[in-house]
Amino acid sequence: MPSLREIRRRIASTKDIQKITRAMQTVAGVRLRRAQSRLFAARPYARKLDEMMKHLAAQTADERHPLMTPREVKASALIVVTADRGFCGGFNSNVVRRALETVGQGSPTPALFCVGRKGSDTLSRQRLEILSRHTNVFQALEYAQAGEIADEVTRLFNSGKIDRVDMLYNEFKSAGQQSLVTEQLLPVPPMAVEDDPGFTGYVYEPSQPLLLNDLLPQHLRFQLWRVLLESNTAEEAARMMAMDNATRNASDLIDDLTLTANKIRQETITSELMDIVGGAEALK
Amino acid sequence: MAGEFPLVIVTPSSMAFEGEARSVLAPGTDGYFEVLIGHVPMLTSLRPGLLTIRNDEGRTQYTVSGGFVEVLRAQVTVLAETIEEVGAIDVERAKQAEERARQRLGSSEEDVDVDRARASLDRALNRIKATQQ
Repeated sequence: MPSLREIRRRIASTKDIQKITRAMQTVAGVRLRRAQSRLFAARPYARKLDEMMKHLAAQTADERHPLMTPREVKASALIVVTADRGFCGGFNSNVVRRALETVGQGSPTPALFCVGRKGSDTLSRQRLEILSRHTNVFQALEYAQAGEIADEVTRLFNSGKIDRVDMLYNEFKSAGQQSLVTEQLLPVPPMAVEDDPGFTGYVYEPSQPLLLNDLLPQHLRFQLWRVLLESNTAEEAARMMAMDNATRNASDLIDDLTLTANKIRQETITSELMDIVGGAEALK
Repeated sequence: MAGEFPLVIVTPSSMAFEGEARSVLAPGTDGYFEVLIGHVPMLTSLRPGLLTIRNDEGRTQYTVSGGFVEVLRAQVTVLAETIEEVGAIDVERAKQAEERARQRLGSSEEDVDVDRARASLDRALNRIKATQQ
């Protein structure tokens, strides 16, 4: 049986921890809102870029751009997006687990491209081929960083070192839900061409192939940007949930410990009382 | 003649402009061009340069770092990688970027991405030039 003083100390320290988790929860909530608004702000651009790509792809369907042409996959890469920081529940470990599964099943075995410090650290400990690491990207997330990663991958694809690139990341569903998604980045998957009745065709300047040459790298940069935003938003949501759970668990623990402390106190009083009563009896 | 058309300028991180415009002067890859109402539907890419919008509020100038312009019958859309109103440019930052790009171009290391360094030099010079007009 622990002593009363020991239990009181545990209650005090649990309360301290609870203060920290509650603060982290509030911070995550604020960052979640910011991340979410950035995610929403990217949507008009996404829609527009998509439309342009579709229109252009529909018109240049017969001659395919190299970035859109599937080829025999001799080497592939997997971009694994995790967070830079922990304390966000299963967010990082889920990604890492899925990444390891994918690597185990993939033939050829994909080389890894780590974005985010947590995944990069964990995966580095395995004996895997890691092509490149990008850590501390989420602290001050900017479009240029997404551009850098996309350009790096595109260079590898163009040089023929890699024939296929997938992305693995957490998608933001709602504040309470994230889901793991694997998406093909390269070669750019064929777009569903729909008939747009309002669309009458363009004059192209410069020519269509040249435009596609400009548009595709921009499309890839934007895809990565979107993925980074998704992951970042999902991360803050996951952290908020995790910290909410931790705060609640701390409350439960404090209740339990308080109950035990009260019981011990009562027992001590009872036994002291018995002693006094017993002593008084003996004196009679 | 003075017709207005809806104009939207979007970047990956924000909606930079949404409203009516009388004319848009933009730096196309093949040279500057102006879009007025009733322009033929067109898709074109932009190089770094100045984008000028005229509407009832007067004339507003922006620097763009490249992107695309889509002209449709009912609407004009500019997809810009980054866009800044000329009045809001941080000259110091632009100069630093110019310096960095020149260093990268000048260095003899092998892994320098010449295309990218040149592109960022272009962007920096473009912004500096815009403020000096």
